Amino acid sequence: MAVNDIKLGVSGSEALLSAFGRKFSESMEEISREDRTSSGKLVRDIITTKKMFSLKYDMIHDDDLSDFADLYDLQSELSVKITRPDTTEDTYTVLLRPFDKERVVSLGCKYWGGVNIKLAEV
Amino acid sequence: MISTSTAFSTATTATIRKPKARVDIVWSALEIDPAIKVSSSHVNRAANIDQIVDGNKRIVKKWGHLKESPTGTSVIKADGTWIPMPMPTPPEAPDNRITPSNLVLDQVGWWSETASDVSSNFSVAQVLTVEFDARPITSLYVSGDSHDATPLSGGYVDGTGQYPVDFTITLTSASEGDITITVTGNDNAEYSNTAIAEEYYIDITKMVLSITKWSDPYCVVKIAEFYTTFEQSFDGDTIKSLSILEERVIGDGTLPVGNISSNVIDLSLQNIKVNGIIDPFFPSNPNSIYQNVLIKNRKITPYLGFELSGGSIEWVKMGTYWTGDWKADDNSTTASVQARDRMELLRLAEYPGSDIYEDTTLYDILEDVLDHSIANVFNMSDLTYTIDTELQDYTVPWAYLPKASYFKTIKKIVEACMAVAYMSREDVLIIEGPSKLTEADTYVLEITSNDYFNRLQPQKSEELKNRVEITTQPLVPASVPEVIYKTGSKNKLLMNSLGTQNTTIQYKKKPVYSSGLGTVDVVVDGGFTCTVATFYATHADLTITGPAGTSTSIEIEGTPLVIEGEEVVVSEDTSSIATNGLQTYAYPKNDLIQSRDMADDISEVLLPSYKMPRKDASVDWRGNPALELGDVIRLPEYIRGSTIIKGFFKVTKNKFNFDGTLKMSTEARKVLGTPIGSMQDTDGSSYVLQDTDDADPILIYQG
Repeated sequence: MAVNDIKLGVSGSEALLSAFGRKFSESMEEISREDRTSSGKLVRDIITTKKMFSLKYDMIHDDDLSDFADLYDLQSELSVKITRPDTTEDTYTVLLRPFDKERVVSLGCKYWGGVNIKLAEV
Repeated sequence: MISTSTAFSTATTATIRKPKARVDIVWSALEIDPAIKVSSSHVNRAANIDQIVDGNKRIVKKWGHLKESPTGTSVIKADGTWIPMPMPTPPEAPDNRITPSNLVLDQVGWWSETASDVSSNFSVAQVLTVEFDARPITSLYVSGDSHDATPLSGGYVDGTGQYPVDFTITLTSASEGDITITVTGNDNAEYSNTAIAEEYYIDITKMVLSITKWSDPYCVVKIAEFYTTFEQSFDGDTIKSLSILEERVIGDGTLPVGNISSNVIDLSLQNIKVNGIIDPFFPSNPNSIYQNVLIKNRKITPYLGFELSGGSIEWVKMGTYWTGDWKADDNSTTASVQARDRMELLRLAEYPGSDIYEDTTLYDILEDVLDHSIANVFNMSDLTYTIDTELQDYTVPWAYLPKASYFKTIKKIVEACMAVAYMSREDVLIIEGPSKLTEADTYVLEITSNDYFNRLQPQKSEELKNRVEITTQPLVPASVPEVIYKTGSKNKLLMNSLGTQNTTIQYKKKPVYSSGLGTVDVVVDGGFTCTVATFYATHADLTITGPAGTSTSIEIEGTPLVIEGEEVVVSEDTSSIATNGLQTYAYPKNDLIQSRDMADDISEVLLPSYKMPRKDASVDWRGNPALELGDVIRLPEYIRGSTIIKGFFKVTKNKFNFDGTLKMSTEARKVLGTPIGSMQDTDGSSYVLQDTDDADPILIYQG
């Protein structure tokens, strides 16, 4: 377990993801409804807040991308484990969104670019 | 208003709120499953075996019993510790059975016939059987005699009390046959097995407990509980939406007199994956634990609440409801169900009708009806009710109630005095007297323009009435008995092959006084006998015996009550008539209104409330689940600059809509003659009372 390690897979079988060419970002999504009352006051009811994770690969090997495709094909909840800078590990149950890919022809058809893997916390 | 914490009140009005919802669903339990049947071929005559499914898990008294002695002599001593057993149900007299005490403190449960031997074994296994409609079994539970067991958090200290040591539990599955769980060496007064949930037994129809060894020698089996309820809680991850409608007044265009209403919830659950089950609420899903319990009359208790600043959730109970039909649509990701409160059960159950009441108050008549429902309707045994003592002021000289649903019967009674009947959040049937229509206590909540999205004060001109006509229907006994029923010559009662025939006959004149003043006589042809007769005011249930295949005529003589001196009592307000024109309201005819005094009482309440155009309030706002029907709220009626006119309103309808967020619609009736002196201002602002012509107080803000 090293800082910035990210593991993904079915709960209990998470596998380490390739860090090569990867940019990782995470954001909060607030699920809520806002409205203004009769006085004009803005009020908000928060349903919940969830995490969104993004793994952007400028370049990724075909084998690594196939692993993502296989996980997507499972059509089930996945578990992602993220090792934080203080070496603690956070675990989230996520759904893998469908993703696009662009073949990098100059590298002998073994690599893909423009891949953005999005994981939404359930 | 439901009592909640200050933190909860703060959370309801906070700019950013986190509303929550939860529903507790009882899928299977004694009170909703009439098919549960308990039997044993080894039952002690002192036992009350039906108690092993009643949810009471403790035997708390040291019952005196003569069986438990190695020599067959009594071990009961007059030392103050032994208690005589409560009256058992005599199995030999089912038609005249004495109701055993089912109080928690009187728990006896199943006692076996034979005592264990010196080694605590039974030479013949002692067997108890519970049968029921197919349902999932997710846990097993056996509770022994815990009266002297040493309590431990969540159970008892091992080896204390009395309990089965070696036993089997056999489950009969419609799809898998018999499944036997063998237990040896149990040493606790409570045995439970929750691991069985993983086995996924979803269509069990029978459970058999077979005990071969007891904890103590020379003791009979004593089991307090064997049946487990199947109950689950679902929270925001499962609830897609929940709407709750509570109302005390039905907006049907007529005056809200004698109201009785049934509250309703609409629940939508996500039907994708729940507790690891795919498509959980499709009724034909063979892999769903719910496949056999998605049926009517499941009990639902909804809760609404808020997450407080510390992260905890404070809940408010929103009543108790029974489900209708479940719906799961292929094209939808949700399953939905509508459920109604206990009033719906009262609407579906039939009251057989009463005999004649003489000089009886509406309070006593209503009490009779409700007690009758508790004693005779399956799912009403736990009904609790509160009747306003104001109904004791209404005495009816001659009253009767015809055969009708309990709901209609209660409606007839409350209509006779302008009372209101509804179910409270705590599942208590509340009957409020007519004075509550206008009386008001201190307001409990102020809803400001920071809280509401829209506010209306509809005129409701259809409810303006300045002349009330009430028709009295005085009943008096006829001077002489007369024939009240006679079979036609072509309509004689034909005896069946057993020579016994039951029949219900309707009197041609109703009601009939069947006891005291005038006894009802049944006359049948020679050779026939009326063996059983139950007389009501409008009909009679008879059992006639006679030669099989022959027929008899029936003639009944009794004393009918007739309406004599019917009168229309008129009350009107000339001032309102001059202003608004004549608006007449003919009060629904009700034969419980028999005197001019009673009609006057109704007019005195009705006319002041409806003689002027009303300005009731309807407000769509952020919502507070603690607000109940009948609560008084304060609302702005007019806002312009520094002038704020506020009024007091009594809540008549609440609709809560939860979909992760919470909104609420409230309708409320303007309070007349509010006791301003008891009003407490919550924000320290000063107000001046301004009287209006119709004694309708308003407050002018002086800020």
